Amino acid sequence: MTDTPTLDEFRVRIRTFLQQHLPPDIRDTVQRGQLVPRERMVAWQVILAQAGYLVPHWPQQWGGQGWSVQQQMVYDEEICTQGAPELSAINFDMIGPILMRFGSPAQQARFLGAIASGRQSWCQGYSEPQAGSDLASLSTRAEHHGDHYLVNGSKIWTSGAQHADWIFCLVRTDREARAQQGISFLLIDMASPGITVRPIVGIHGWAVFNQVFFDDVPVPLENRVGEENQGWTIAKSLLEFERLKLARIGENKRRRARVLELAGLRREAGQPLAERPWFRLRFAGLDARLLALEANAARFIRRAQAGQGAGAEVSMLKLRGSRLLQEWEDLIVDALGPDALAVADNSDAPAPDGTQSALSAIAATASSRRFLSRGFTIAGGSSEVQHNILAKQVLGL
Amino acid sequence: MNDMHMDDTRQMLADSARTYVARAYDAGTRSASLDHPHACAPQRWQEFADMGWLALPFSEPDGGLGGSLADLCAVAEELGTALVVEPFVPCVVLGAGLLADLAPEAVRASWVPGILQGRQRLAFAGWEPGSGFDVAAIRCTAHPDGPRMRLQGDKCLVPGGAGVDGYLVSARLQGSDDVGVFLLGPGTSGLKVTPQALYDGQLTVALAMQEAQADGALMIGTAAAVLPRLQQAVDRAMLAHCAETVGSMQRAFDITLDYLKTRKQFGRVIAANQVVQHRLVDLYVEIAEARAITHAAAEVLDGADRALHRRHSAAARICVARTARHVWEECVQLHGAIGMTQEYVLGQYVKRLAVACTLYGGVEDHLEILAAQSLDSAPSTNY
Repeated sequence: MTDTPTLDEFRVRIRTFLQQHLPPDIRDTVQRGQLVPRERMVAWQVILAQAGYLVPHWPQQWGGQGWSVQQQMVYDEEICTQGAPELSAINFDMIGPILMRFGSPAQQARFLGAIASGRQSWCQGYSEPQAGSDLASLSTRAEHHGDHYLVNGSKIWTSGAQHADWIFCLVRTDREARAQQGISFLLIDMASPGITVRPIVGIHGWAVFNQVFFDDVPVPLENRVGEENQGWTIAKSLLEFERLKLARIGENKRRRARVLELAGLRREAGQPLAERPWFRLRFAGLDARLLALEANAARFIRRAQAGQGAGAEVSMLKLRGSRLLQEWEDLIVDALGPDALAVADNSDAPAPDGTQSALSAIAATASSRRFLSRGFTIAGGSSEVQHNILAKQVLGL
Repeated sequence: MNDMHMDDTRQMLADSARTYVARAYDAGTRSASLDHPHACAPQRWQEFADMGWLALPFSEPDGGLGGSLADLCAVAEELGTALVVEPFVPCVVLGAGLLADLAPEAVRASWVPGILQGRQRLAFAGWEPGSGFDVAAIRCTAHPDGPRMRLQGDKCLVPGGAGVDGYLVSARLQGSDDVGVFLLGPGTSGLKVTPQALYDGQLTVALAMQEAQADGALMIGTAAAVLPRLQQAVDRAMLAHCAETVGSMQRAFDITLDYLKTRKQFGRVIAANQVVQHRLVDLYVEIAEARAITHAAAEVLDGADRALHRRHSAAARICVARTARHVWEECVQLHGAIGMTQEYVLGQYVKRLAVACTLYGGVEDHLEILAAQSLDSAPSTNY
């Protein structure tokens, strides 16, 4: 894609900002493939918020920039290529937009400013031990108790719950109704009495997700979003928004850049990796798919710009984007060969003496990143669910 | 497939081509074209002229319509749905396209009217036995003989080359580094034309040249000047061929989907099985991506940024060829034995798609081209 001069200028503006303001320790952490500690993430979000770059895609009345879809894409790309951390989709693409669309004026006033400031963090309480991809079979319940609900049950695979200030939850408020119809959408303060968070360590070695237990947790009625028993409609609209975002083109480009970096750094059998035939074929195969994914996503973006809904077809972006991310991660591991075998260094701390080479920094986390990426085809509606959606709603099967 | 991004002209071209094949290109018509000795029924070609399609490659000052590559792709995609036999991509996008892009004004002026009216066709003779689809691998030679040039060597797989009025032949000039694209009349002395039918019914020819006398040249210059322009023209044809292939694979998929929605086994339609549904979804999604990258690449090739041309055309070629193979193999499998028969309609699509995976260079050739774009300069993290 060639940029128009104005889009080029825009890119330079974003790039310059990131180069000047992204703290070096955060960039190093990201480039090593490690997770950015919570307090550093908040610090970075505050810097972005003060410049107006934390929620640029939001409507202007809520602090957005009114950018075009292309500008938004350039922004996402620069975030990835300049080594800035991926921003939480849960905060900025899910609960924020949900509250704009379904929240009461009081809820909007209470939460949107706090989210846009970069200081408040949310997690998503959807999946349960017995309700994963089959979300509608969830059983965490909320019962009326005077001016509040009492919530009991548990949520699982809750990313970031150990750091979150708030959780938005789907809970059952009518046990008689059909699966999708007795569900409500609640906002719950993580500091409420009766909440316990148990971190779950993944095969990658990181505790990115958790199980959250609710034991008679009081939730004021005013914290319900939308009508009682109408939560499924909200969750569904959320899922569609989520899928459009989950093509994750910027994140795919971040992996591609890492693969190119390896191609220049690593040698194999006396040759630079960039000259090894197997590597060239693997790289080009993924590169072609990335260009195709981007071209395909552009169709949906044009539809969105013309005010048309994305429709069920958008599931294909999630399906392909998540798979492609995994294959870049596989290529990184394969390119490192034996050097990716050592136990991962998942500590948050930078290398003590600052001498770690770029190559060993990538090698230290490559296997963990690869394991982490397996979640991309499971979370947000597994690939099998996306297939079902496309079969039923697009192919009419 | 409506895409609201298509501008109005392109949408009109796609609509008219879709209407044309639905109205005028049924199985009987197609079979008559296959039986024609040139695999190009004159009446059909005249209809193409009447639709204005033959004028698309030429600029308005030349008397053409100044169509873009994206316009040509819009027509090619619709023709692909009906497996149109007449050589639209070979003679219009490639043959006429080379004339429009490379030839001096006087040469264009002598050919354009006949081409526009559907009376004359040109074909590109660039590929040679043993050299795959590398347009730069030229062993044919040319040497002057008085005011004329004489050509020596072999060309093969000249697409759409039966019954044309001129061959555009690439050759190296003897004793120099120069390369030329020469015009040879089909009846010129020293030229032997041999038909080479492909298994999908299209007709190519092979040329054997022994002191064959050229009628003129489109372009002669250093290899560094001529080859990139030749490559550019061939890449444009390759993309139009991709678009045509997308049309064919979409129709093969539609035929398969319809069949699986009707055919019953074990007491229910085959498409009720989840394993079948998921495989159909995979094909649907891959076709959507192949179409999207083809359209996007056509726009890139219509644009001025040459550095991006090969990267996008190679990526489109890889996606389309991979998908074409996946589609035809899966369509046969999902049909069952009926998909293996010569008589059933799917077979024609299978063969067209199978040929399409190889023509203009296959997946591996283009993986290497694409890899070179990013890995052979100083590796850069810029996208």
